[in-house]
Amino acid sequence: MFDVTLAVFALYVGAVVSIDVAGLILSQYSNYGLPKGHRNHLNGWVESLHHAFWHAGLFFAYIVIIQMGTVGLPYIIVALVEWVKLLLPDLNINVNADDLAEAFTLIFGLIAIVIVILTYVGKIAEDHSEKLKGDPEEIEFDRFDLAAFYSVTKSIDGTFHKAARDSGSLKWKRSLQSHGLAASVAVDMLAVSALIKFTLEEEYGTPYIGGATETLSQWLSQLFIAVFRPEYVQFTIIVFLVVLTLAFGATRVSRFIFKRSKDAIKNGEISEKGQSRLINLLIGLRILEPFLIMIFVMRLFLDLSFDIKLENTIFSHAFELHPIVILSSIFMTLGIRQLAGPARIRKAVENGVTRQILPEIEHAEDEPGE
Amino acid sequence: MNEPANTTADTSVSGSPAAGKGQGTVRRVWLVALLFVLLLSAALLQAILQYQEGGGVELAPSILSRYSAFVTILSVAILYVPGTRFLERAFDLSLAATLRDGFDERQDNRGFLSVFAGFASCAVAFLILFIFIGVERGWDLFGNASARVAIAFVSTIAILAIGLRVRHVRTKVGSESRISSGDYLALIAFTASALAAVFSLIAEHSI
Repeated sequence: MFDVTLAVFALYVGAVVSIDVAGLILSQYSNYGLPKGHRNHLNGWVESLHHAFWHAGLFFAYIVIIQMGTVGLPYIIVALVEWVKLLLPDLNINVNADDLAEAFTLIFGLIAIVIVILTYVGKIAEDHSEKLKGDPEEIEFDRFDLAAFYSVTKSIDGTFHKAARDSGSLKWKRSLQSHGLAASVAVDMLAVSALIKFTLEEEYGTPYIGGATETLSQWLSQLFIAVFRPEYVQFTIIVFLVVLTLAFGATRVSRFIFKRSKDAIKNGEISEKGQSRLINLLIGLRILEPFLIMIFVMRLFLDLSFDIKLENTIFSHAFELHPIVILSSIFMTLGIRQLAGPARIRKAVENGVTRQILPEIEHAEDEPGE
Repeated sequence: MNEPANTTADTSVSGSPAAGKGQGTVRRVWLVALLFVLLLSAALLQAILQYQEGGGVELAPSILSRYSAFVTILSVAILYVPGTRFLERAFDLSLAATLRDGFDERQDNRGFLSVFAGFASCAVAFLILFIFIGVERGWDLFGNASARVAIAFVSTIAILAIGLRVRHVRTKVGSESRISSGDYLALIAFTASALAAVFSLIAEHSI
């Protein structure tokens, strides 16, 4: 069933997580300004598709994993406690799975908040263009989960483009680089999906596996229903479409920047003034994203810790403009910026903007087109 | 991963700044271990007293959660907060070595003031919320759920501390540095703390 308020919330989240995608695409403007069908250039929409795939895919994967933890873990603990009670009959302890599920929601929710903050401290100073260096076949990620997802994506992509993979063509390498970049900017999806899960839970209630669960198969079927909630599927689809649209829009703006500055540049560099303006814009985008996320991080903190519901609608989480929440979000964003280091943020953006043409393009000039 | 710089940690001689730093870390970790021994002793004493009173051995969630809260927060402070270096000095570490092991080195040369401002800003953000709730609720911050929220906070801190320690050990493995007994001790200590907190949480719900 289509939920309009959920859709609006998903649109908001999709737009927020697209900010970094747009920033990355804008910083690589000369790649998107290359002529259509350039042998070392994927179409803008293909790269946008990669970004949408990574953002929506990671969102769904993480939400399923978190759901299984918060819904399934309490029941495993109950089973363990029952077993301990068989061994130690004198032990006076009774555990209720529903109470535990509520307690775990609180713990995981607080952990999610800390992960969101730490993720943005790392992410806003990250130089994504580092992924363009070296062999695209061996792109390294700091987090093992991203490395695993990248490996799976590489093998799926390779299955569909077997000939390109076997010949090691530039198009294949460019595709891998594009996936690597998309994975690099989607690093915050763990934090975002955790946040969305607990925010939606505040709205729709913690999923419990109620009723008769006498057999393992009954328990598993109820776990499946609890984990794969239709709200999350709807959310994932909307995030996919929003990221795809905004990323594609950013490629068009990138192309515009490139064409506009074409006369004044050589080797893909725009004028110093234009470059400085672009760098400032990209720094602003890097700060804007955590600020928009922090607004509902702080709201979630209020909900989880103090059980405060200013308005019991989903809009209250996404669009709550209570001055206290805004003020604390501003301080939080300033803290994140300071912890990441303003100089490091600027350096990362500058590297992205100055490292324009992909390394392979230089070799591609000497090679026959595909 | 074979940079020559990585080998210096193992070749440092006693009395050098590196040796002083290592000794400080080991001392702090031993301090944490000592705290956990005290915690376990206190919990055991509690159980014995209850048994003598004829109530059987029963979990005391409030006592356990208080202990685990105290020990976790103190342990995190000792291991991670630079301002608690005075504890090292109390353990007879030379002042010069403490000063040499500067904050800048730990924070990627970002500078003490910059990082301090970052932490302070985040703290102010949460403080604003606490003041807001305090004014709204007459300073009864958590209402009826105080024990549950307190235990959840402690569990969160303990789990995050485990994460930080694991990352530290993984970094050491990556750079082929020696993993000290202190690293293992800290991991065990935080895991025990997290388990104690989660155990308290289960027991809290049994009341």
